[in-house]
Amino acid sequence: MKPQGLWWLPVLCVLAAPAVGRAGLRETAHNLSPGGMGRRPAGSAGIGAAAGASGENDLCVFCHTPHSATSRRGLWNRELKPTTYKLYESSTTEAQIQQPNGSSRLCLSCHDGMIAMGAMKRRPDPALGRLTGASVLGTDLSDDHPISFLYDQALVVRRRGLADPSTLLGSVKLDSTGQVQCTSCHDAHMDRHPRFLVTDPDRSSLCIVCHRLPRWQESAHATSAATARAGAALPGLGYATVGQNGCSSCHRSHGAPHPRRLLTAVTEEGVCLPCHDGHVAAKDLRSVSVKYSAHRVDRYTDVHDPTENPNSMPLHVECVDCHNSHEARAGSAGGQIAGPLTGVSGITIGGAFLREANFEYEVCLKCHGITEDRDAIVFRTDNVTNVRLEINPQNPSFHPVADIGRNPNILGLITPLTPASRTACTSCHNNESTTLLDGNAPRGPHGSNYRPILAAEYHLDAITATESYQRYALCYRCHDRSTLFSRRDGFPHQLHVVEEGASCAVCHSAHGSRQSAHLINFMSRDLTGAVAVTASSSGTLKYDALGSGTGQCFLTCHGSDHNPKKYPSDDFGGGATIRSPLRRGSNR
Amino acid sequence: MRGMSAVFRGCRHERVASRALLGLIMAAIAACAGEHSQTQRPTVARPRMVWPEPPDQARVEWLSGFACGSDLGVERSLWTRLSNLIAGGAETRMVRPAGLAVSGTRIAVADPGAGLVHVYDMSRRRVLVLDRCATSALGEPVAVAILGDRLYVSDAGQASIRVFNFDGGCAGGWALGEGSRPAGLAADAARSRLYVADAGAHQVLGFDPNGLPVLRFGSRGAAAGEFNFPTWLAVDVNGNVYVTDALNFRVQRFDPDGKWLGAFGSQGDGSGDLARPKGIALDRDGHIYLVDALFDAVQLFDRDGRYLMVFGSRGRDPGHFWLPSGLAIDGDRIYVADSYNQRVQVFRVLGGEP
Repeated sequence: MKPQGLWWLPVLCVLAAPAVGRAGLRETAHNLSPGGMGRRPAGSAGIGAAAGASGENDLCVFCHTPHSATSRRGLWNRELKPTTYKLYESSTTEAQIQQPNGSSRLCLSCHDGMIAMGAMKRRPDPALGRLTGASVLGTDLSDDHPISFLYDQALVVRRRGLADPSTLLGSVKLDSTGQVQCTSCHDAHMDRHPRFLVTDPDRSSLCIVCHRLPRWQESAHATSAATARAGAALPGLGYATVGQNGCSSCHRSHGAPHPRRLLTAVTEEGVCLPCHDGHVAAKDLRSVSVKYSAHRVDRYTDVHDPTENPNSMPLHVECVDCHNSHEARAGSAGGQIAGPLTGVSGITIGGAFLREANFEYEVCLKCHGITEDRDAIVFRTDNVTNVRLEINPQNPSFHPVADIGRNPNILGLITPLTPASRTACTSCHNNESTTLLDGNAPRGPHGSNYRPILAAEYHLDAITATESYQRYALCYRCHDRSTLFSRRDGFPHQLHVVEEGASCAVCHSAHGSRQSAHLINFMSRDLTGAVAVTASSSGTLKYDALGSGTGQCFLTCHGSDHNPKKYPSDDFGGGATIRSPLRRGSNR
Repeated sequence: MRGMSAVFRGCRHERVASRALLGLIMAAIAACAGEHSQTQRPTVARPRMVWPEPPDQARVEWLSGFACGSDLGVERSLWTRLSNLIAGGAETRMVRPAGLAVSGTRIAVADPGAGLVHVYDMSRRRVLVLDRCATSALGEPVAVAILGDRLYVSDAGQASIRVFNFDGGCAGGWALGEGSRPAGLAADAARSRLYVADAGAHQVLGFDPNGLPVLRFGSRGAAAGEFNFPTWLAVDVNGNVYVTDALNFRVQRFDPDGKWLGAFGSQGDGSGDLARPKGIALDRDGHIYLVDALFDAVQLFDRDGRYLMVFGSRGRDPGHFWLPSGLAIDGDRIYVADSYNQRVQVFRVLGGEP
C-alpha cells in the first residue's frame, strides 16, 4: 500500500472525537508535546507549541502514530519492500492472557516506568520482601485488573457476578472486538475524573458497571458511613466513608499487593483487620483473633479459594470462610442466619454442600463437620469427634442445634429456655468477653481464653478440684446449678459433681451422643491423659435410660464398680462417699 | 490456555500439569526444565532463523531465549536458594524485563514488574536476585549498567541510582533532584563515566563511578539538543552518547562533552520510521540497533542514521516480540528484553560486508 501521508491527521483529530477537543486534552497530563503538561518539571513554564515540529496536531500523534510518508527499503534488506507496521490491531484470535493488545499496547508502550508511571505491574511489599513461588508466579503474573480479554456471554456464564456485556451502560466501553482494554475504565483524552477514569469511582460506581454482586448494595460495607478514627486513614481512594470508598477499601485495580483477587494486602486478614481492629469498625477483632483459643486466621495465607469444596479443601481458616464481605450486614438478611454470615457457603447436617448456608451451624460444619477433630481434647467411649455426626438429630440425644431436642423434661432449664428451644454453635463457642458484659467485645467464635473457643469456663479434667459455679459456668448459664444439685428424685448430680468432683464432661458429651439419651458418652481419658471411665466388672460400659428420672450405668470409675447402678436409689445417694484414688492423686 | 502465553516456561515454578506442553516447547526451542537443565537440554534440529531472509545476506541470527537462571544453565546462589526454600522453593522468573547490561560473563536484567534485578553470573554459575539495597527495597528498577566491578541500577520509582557489587552487596547510591525520573543508563568504561537519561527533567546526566556529577546537557524542547522524554542511552567506542529522544521520535548523538553531533529518525509507522523507540546499542562496526516497542521489532541504522534492516515481529515464538524495551550488545551477542513475553532473547551479529 502506498503511504498516505499526514494530510488526514488534523481531520481525524477534529472529526473523530469532537467531544474530546484539543483544548480538553491540552490541559491534561496526556498533552505530551514539548510544551505540554505531561510531566513538566515543577516550576518550569511550557515551551509552547511553537517549539514543536508542527502545531496543535502534535497533541494526537503521541498515541495516534501518523501513517508514514517515508517508508524505506532497508539498505541491507533490498528484497523487502518498504512496509507499514501494524501497531495495535485487535483480533480476538491473538488474545492471550497477560499480553496487552489493541489500544492497550499504546498505553503500556509509554507507561513503562520511564516515560510515564509504570507501576502497572506487581510491586512487592517492602515489609514482606520479595514474593516468589507458585503462590504468585504460578497463577497470575499480574497484579493489575486484566485487560485485553474478551468480555462476552460465555465469560458471564463461566464467572459469576458479571453484567451481561450487552447491558453495559454509560461510560464503560469495550473495544470494537468486545474486549476490555485500558480504555474501558480510563479515557486518555479526558481527566475530568481522577486518574483519567471514565466516571467518578465514588461508591464503587465504576466497578459495579461490570461487577454485579448480588446483595452488595445492601451490604454493611456498601452502606457504611464509618469514618476513620482520629489519626488513622481509611484504605481506598481517599473518600471520607467506607461506603464511598467501596471496592477500593479492599481491592486495588493496579499494583495490588496480593495479585489474586487484587487485594490490598498480602495476607487475607491484612485486608480486614486494619479496619476491624477498632480503627474504623467499632470492635477490635485483631486482639480477639489471637486469644488462647482462636480461629487463627493469621496462620494461613493463600489457601482459601472462593470456589473451594469443603470436602476436598485443605484445612484453613480465613475471615472470608465465615463472612462474605460483599454481602455481610448487621442484623439479619431475613432468613435464620445472622447478618454477618449472609452469603456464606456451608455443609448441611447430611453433609451436602450449600452455596449459601441457611443456618449458622452449617457454616461451622464446613470444617467441623467434615473430618474428625484433630485437636480433640478428651477421648470418649464413642470417640467420634465429627461435630456433624455428634449433633445429628437422628441421635438418641443431642444439643438442639440442628433440631429441637428429644428430652421433654430437661432438668433445671433456665427461663426463657424450654425443651423446644434451639441453641446455636455460638451459644457455647464464643468470645468469653461477651459473657462478661463487655459491650465492645466482638461476638462470635473468633477467639476465647477458654478452649475450645468457649463462651465461659468449662473444665474437662475428669476429676477436678472443688466444684464451683465458675468451673462449669458454661453449663450453668442454661442449666440451673441449684436445681441440679438439690433434686433427690433423679440422677444424683450432687454426689458425682460436688462430692466426687467429677466434671460434667465425664458422663456428658456436650455436642450429642450417638448411643444414649441425655448426652451420655463416657470420657475414657481426660485432657491430661488420665484414665476416667472404664468397663464394669462384667466388662460392660453403657448407660440405659429407663424412663423419666430413672436409669442405670455399667461402668467403673474412681475404683467404684457400677454393675449396674440404678437411680434413683438410696444406695446411690445419701452421702456414702467413696474416696477416690484418682481424686486424691490429682488435685489439679 | 494460560500455559501457552509465553514460550519460555522452563523455570522451576512450573507445575506438573504443564509438563506435556513444556515437552513440546522444549522440542521447539532450547528451554530448560530443571536444575540441571544443560544435561537435559534436547538437541532437536531447528531451522536456522536469520534476518534478512535469503537471498539477502544474513546479518542477524536468533540464538536463544531465557526467562530464569535454569534456562541459562546457571544455578541460583546458595543464599537465593535458601531464601527460596523458605519462600516456596520456586525460581525467580522474569515478570517484565526492561533494561539490560551485559559484560563478559555477567547478564543483568532490570525487572520493574517484579521490582528487582536479576543477575546471571555465567562464570560463577549462579543467579543473584537484587531486591533491596541494605534495608531499602528497590522501587521500580528500569535499567542497569555495568561499570568496572559495580552494577548501577536506575530506580525510577525512587528517583535514585543504586549501586551493587557482584556479590549482591549494596554499595550505596545517590538520589536525583526534584522532578527527575532516572530512566536508561549507559557506561563509558574508557572515561569511567555513568550516563543517566533523566526522563523527568528532560536531560542527560553524567556521573563519575561514585556519583559525582560531571556533565549535564539538554532541556525540554524539540530543537536540536533538546529532549522530549529522553529514555534509553548508548555509548559508542569514541565515547559519543546516543539518546533515544522518545517523544521527539528521534535519536540524538552527542560527544563526550555533551556537544550535539546530530540526530536521525522521524515519526511514522513505516519501515525506518520510529513509533515508540526504546532500547539502543551499537555493535562493533558502529551500527545502531534500536528497539521499537510498537513495531515489536529492532531496526538497524548506520552511523549516519540510514535505515539498514529490521528483525523481529509481533508474537510469542522465538524471534517474536511483545512490547520489547531494553537492548544490549556484548561482542557479537544482541540481548533484547522482550518485556511482555517475559523473557530475554539472544541474537548474534553475523557481520559481513556493508
